[in-house]
Amino acid sequence: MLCRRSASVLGALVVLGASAQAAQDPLTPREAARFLSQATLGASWEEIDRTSEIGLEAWLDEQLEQPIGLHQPYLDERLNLGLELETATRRWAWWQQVRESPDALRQRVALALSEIFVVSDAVDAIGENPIGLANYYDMLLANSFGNYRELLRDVSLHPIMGVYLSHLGNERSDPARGRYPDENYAREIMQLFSIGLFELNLDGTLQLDPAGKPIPTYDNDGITEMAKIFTGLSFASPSGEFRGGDPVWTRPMRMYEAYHEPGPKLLLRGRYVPPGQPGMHDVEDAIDNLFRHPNVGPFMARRLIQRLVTSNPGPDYVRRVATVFQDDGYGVRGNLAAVVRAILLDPAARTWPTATHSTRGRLVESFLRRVHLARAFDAESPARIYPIEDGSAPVDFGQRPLSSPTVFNFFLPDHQPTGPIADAGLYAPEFQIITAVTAIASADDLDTQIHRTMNFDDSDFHEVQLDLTDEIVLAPNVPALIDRLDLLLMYGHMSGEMRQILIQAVSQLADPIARARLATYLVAISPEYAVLQ
Amino acid sequence: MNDERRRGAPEDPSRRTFLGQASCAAVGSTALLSTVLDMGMFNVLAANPTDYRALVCLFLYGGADSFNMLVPRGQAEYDEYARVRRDLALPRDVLLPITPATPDGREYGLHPGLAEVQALFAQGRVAFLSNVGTLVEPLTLQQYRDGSARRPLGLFSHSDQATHWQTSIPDQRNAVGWAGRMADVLGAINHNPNISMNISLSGSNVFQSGNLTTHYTITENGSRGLRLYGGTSPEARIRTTAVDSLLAMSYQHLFEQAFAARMRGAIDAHLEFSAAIAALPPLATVFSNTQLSQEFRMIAQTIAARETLGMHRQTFFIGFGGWDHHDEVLLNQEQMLPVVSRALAEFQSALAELSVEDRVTTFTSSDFGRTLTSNGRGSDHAWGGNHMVIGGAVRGGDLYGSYPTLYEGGPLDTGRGRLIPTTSVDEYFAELALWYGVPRQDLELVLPNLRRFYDPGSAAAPLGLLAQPAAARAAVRRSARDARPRSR
Repeated sequence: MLCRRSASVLGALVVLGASAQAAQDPLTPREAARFLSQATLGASWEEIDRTSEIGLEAWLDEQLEQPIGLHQPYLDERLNLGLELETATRRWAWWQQVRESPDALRQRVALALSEIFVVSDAVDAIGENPIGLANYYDMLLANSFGNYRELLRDVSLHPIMGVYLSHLGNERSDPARGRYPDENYAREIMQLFSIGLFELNLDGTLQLDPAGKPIPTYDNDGITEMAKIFTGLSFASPSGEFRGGDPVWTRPMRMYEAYHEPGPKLLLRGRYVPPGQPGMHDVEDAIDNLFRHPNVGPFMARRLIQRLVTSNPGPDYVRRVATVFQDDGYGVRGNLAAVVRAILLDPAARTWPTATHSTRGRLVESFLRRVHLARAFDAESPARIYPIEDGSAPVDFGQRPLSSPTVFNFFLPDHQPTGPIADAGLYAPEFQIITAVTAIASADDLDTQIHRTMNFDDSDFHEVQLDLTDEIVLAPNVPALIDRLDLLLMYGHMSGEMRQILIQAVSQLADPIARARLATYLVAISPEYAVLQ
Repeated sequence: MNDERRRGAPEDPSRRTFLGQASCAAVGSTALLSTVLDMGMFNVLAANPTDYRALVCLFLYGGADSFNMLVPRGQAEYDEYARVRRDLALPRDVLLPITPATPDGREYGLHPGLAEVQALFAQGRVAFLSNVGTLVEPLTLQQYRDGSARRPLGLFSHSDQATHWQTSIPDQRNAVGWAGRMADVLGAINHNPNISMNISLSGSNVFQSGNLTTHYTITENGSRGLRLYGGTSPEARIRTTAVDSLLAMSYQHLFEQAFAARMRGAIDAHLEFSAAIAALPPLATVFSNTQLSQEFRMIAQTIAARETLGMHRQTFFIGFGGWDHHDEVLLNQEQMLPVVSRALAEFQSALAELSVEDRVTTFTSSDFGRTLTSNGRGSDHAWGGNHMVIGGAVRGGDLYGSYPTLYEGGPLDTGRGRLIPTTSVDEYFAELALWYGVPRQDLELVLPNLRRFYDPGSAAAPLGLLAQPAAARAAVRRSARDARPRSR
C-alpha cells in the first residue's frame, strides 16, 4: 500500500492536450471572457483579448507552466527588513499575488482548495502565525496542479492544519487513565477532505442499499481507528520534543514514535495497517487507503466544479470529471491539473448559456466580485503594494480568504436557500452568506471600491484604486461604455432590459468620471452580474 | 445536453449542524420547521397577541476579570481573596456591600464601579451566577489532571472560548450559536419575513447565527440602508430608480431571481425598521453618551417598536470589547465597569418606562474568567467567572451557583487560580432559554450537551434564577423565593 504514484506536470501537459475538443473552435472575445471568469479570479480587457486570440488550449498550456506565485516570500522579505508581521499582513501578500502574479489559474484553484481544505486565521494560534498560514496557502498553490494524494498528505502533515483540527500533539491512548486519541482530524479528513459520508457512484449520485437508504462510508469505529493513525505528530522542532519544543510552522509535522498508537489499526474497505511499522508508515497507508477509495473522484469533482463552474453539475458532468480523476489517460490517478482542465473544458462548462438554462452556473460571492473588479480594472496603489486588510470583510461580505468561521467553510456544498431554488431541488451554496446585512454592506463596499479606494490608508501612496481610464474615455458615448462593461465584467451576456436601465441612468449624468463609476457600480450590484452562468 | 438541469446527489452535510442536516439535505426547511416547532406555542400566541419576551446578551470580549466584580467581603474570606490576588486586590473598604437573600455564610461586595448594579441588586432586579464557564462534561480537578474527562477545545484561548460561550458546544468548533438555534426553532413566531428574531448591535456573531436564520445587524443609530438609496440629491435619485428597476426585472434564472429578492428584502428591511423606529415618541429615559449606553437605548427603542415590527420574541447582542487586562486590570476596570453599570441601569429605566421590565432579561457573558494570581498588575486567561442576570423576571438580590474558595491550590484550581467552573454554560443558558419560551422537548435542539448537566425533562428549573413562564407574575415570584431549592 505504500506504493505511490505522482504525476509529473510534464506528463499531465501531454495528456491534457488530447482531451478537449470543445476548445478547438474559434474563440470570440465573449467566450474568452466567460472562460476567464471561471478559470481566474477576474481578467483585464487585454487578457480577454489575448485569450481569444490564442485560444483556451494555449492559454491553459501557458498557465500550467507559469511559476508558482508564492505568498510566503513576501512575508519573509518584510521580516528581513525588520518590519512587523500581523495577521493582516498575510492578506497584503494575498492581494499582491492575486493581482500581479501571472499564474492566474493556479491562484484561482488554490483559493478553491482553501475552501475545501479549510483552516482559518479566526483561530488565535493561526492568526498569530501569518508565516505559517502563508506557507499552508503556498502548499495549496504548489499542489494545485499536482497530485491529489500529495495534496492530502501535505494538508494532513501541515502544522497549521495540525493546530486547526487538533491532531498536532495528539497522543496514543491510555485506557488506564481513560484517555483516547482526539478524533477531530480523523473525522474531517474523511468527511470533508476525501470521501464524504455516503458511498457514491462515479457520477456523484448516492449508492443505495436494498432498502433505498444511503450507505455510510464509515461508522464510529472507523473514526476511532483513524484517530489512532493521527497520533504522535508534532512540530519538527530542532530540540526534537513532542511537547514544549519551539514551534516550526513551515515544515511538515514529524512523527514521535513514543506517542504514536502502537498495534494494528483498521482502515476502510477491509484494509488495515500491520503492527510494528513506523508511525509515518501508518499515516502513508491511511492516506493511500483514502486516496484509493472510489468516492474521492466524484467527491472532489463535485466540489471543484461547484467552486469554478456551477452549483448543480449534472451526473454526466461529474462522471466525466471523476473519470479523469481516476485515470488521466496515462494511468495516473488524482492528477489535479487534468481534473481542472477537464472541469473547464467540459461541454457543460463551455456551452454558451441560453434562456433554457435557467439554473446553471453559480452565484459569485460578493467578495469575489470585489476581487474581480480589482483585476478587471487593474487596481493598484502608487507604491505598487496592496496593503488591503479587509478588516470588515467577514461582516460585510460574510467571507474573507482563510478566515472561515469553521472547518465547514463559509457555506455548505448542499445549502438550499428556501424558496424557488430549494423547491426546484437545487443547491446554491453561496446564498448562505447573502443576508439582509451582507446584501447591503457588500454593495456599499463595492461602491466605495469603485468611487474611492479599496483600502483607507494614512498615505495616498498606499491606497489601492481601480483604473477606469478606458471607461471614462468612452463615457460620452453611453451605449459604448455599457458595451465595454458588458464584455469586461459580464462576458457580453447582459440582457437588453438591464442594458436599457443602465443607459437611462448613466445618461442623466454629465461628468464622464461620474458616468463611468455609476455604470460600473450598477453592474457590480446587479443580479445578472452576480450569477456566472 | 440537459445534464445541468438534472441535479447531482445530495450529500449529507455536517453531523454537527443538527438543523442544517435536516434542512440542507434530508427535508426542506418548511417541513423541518413544522416538525420541530411546538404548535402549543402558537396557540398561546394566538390567544395572546401581545406576548413578548426578549433576551439581551452583553458579551464582555477579552475575558473580564470577574473575581474583582463579585468579591468576598467578610474578613476571613476577604483575607483569602487578598492573599491570592495580591496587587490586584481591591481594598475591602471600597467594596459595595450586597446582601444576598440566601445566606451562604459569607459576605459579598461589588466592585466600586458597580454602584447602579448594587442598587438594582437591592431592588431584586439583579442576580449573580458564580463561577460559571464552559464544560464538556462535569469535571473534577483529578479528572482534569489525569485526562479522564474531556476538556473544552482550546481552553484559555480567546477565539475558542468566546465561541464556546456563544455556541454552548465546547467540544466542537462550531459556528452556530444557541440564540441562532432558538431562532431556528421559534423564528416563525414572529410576523416579519424581512427582519430576523435575532438583532445584533455589534455586527456578525456566532451567538445569533443559526442554521436556518441569521441575525439582523443595526448600530446604535439604527438600521443600515443602501448608500444614497432614497436620498434627494440628483445622483441619489438616479441611483434609487436604477436599483429599483434592476431589482424589479423579471429574471428567468432562478439564482438571479433569488439574488434580486434578497437584495430587495434587505433594502425593505431597512425601510421598515427605520420607519418603525422613527414613528415612536422619543424615550423619556436619558442615556449616557457612551457607545454602550447608546446601544442599549437603540435596543429599548426596538423593543418599543415590537408590535409594529411583528415581534413576539427577540434576542439582542452587544459585544463590548477591551476586557483582556493582562496589564493594569485595576485601572481599566475602574474606568470600564461604571460604563457597564450605568448602561444597565438606564436600560432598566427605559424598560420600566415601556412597562416591559418583566419581559426583557439581560445577561452577561465573557470569553473566560481570569487568573486569580497576578502577573504583576494584570491577570491572564483562565476559565470560570462570575456573571450577572438583570431584569424584572429575575429572582434577583441573590447569588446562584457556587462561589468558590479562592486560595491558590484550592480544590478547583488548575494552576495560578484558573478555576474549573462549577456551573456549566449549558445550565446557565437552559435557564434563559426556558424562560424565553423554548419548549422543554426542544431544549436539546438548542443546547445539545445539556443532558450531561441537567435533565431536560426535570420539573425543577436548571438554576432557578428566573421566574419561569408559568409563574411570571411578580407576586408569585416573591413568594416562591423562599421555597426555591438552591442550585449547586
